Amino acid sequence: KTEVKSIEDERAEEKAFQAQLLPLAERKRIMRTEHFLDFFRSSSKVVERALKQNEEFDVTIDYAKKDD
Amino acid sequence: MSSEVEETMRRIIKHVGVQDVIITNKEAKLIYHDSKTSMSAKDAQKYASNLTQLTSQARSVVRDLDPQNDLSFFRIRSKNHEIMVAPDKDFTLMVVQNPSASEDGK
Repeated sequence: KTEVKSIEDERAEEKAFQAQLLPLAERKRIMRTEHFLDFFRSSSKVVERALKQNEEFDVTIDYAKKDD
Repeated sequence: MSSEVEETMRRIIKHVGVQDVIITNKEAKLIYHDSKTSMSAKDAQKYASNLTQLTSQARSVVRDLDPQNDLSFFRIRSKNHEIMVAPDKDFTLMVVQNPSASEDGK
């Protein structure tokens, strides 16, 4: 049995969640710092290479497996 | 967001099956997630919280084995996803992808 949440509950949850988040202005400020950009330049390169690798081949593929 | 960051984000999102790009600080708080994807901020925060815990455990493993060493990158492959995590001292970049999205049009 699934409980249906009231709209008030949902709103309260949403508000609590929003309160946990860093304010948008603060997030924007962080993303403009040189410290952040240094991190982003190196980490995005690693991730892009991994994505490229996934495009070329699937490491988990099982060619011996029969089609279902 | 600087145009440099914006451009890179666009390029990452364009890869097949990418569902979100998430950046967190070391307290696992969201700094960025791609709001144009299907993932909600709530889901993104869930990924962020769980993966931050795993990152610190993975880092402990690496350092326990060799105190001079440090964690730089890890991937988790599951039936439906690949999650890539590139952690640094103060921030972590995470990409959630469904890598098989291309082959069978799922």
